[in-house]
Amino acid sequence: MTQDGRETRPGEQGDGAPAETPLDRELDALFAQLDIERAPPGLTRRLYRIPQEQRGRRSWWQRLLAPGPGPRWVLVPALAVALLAVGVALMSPRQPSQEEIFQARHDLAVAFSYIDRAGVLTGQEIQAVLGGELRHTVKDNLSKHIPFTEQSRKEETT
Amino acid sequence: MSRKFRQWVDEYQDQAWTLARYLLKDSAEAQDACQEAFVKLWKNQDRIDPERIRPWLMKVTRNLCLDRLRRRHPTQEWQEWQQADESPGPMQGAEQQQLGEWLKHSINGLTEPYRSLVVLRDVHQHSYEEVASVLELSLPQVKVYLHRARKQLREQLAEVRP
Repeated sequence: MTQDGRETRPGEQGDGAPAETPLDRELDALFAQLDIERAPPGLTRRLYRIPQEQRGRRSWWQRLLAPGPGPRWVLVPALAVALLAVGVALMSPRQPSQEEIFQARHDLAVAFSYIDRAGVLTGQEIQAVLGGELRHTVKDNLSKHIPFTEQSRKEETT
Repeated sequence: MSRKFRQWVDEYQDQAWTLARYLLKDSAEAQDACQEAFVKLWKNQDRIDPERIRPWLMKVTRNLCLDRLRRRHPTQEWQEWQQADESPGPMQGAEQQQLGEWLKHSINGLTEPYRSLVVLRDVHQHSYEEVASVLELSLPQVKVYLHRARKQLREQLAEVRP
């Protein structure tokens, strides 16, 4: 680029000076012959297909975030509305069907029967353990403090 | 966005293609390299300054071509390619058109970065600044290297002139 903004031609110096020798001029003429080659039509078709192919390879979130016809900020309220809809759907009371009520009652009855049975067994276990323990505790303490004589043994046996 | 991309294809495909052809000397590979460069352009379009699309694309195309050449010529062949290419024999008394063909071969015979420099500057008519940006060279380096490249071509031309 020259200082006046003009493109320098091949062979021309950067300061705008013309080519120096006849060979330079000839080289310039030859360069002028070398046009930029036209890309083959097959390549052009391949290049045109790139956007379509690349879009197909995007994952769902890339497609979601990809710039569409509208501005991107539209996504924010759209996402908020979708979340709100899901929340409302989850929070709203649902009326159970008759079958579900019957099944729930049946399950509850079974659960209570198990709890009852477990309660009875636990009670028996507690009685068995605590009863024996209490008897031993009282008897052992008494025998420690009351003098055990031959007389008392006889009394005990009679 | 797709329309804009199509516009870029129309505008720059020939330049990318010519550069790839000069570097790879193989039509099929040059097409693949161009396609790869444009795929990168599509993927990075949001990150590229719209004013710098052309130098960006040329740089990527060139780098992709050089990668392919390195893969193609892993050791000795790559060095041979670096050194020189076989140019056609002297064309004593050749016509102007034949000289044009000779020049193409001579450009192919240049080593890097001289070859890319000549293609970008003398064939594509890019500005020095743009060439410097594509090749990641300073402006003085571009001018010096271009001078060297032209000197080589001039000397070869002197040999084939009748």
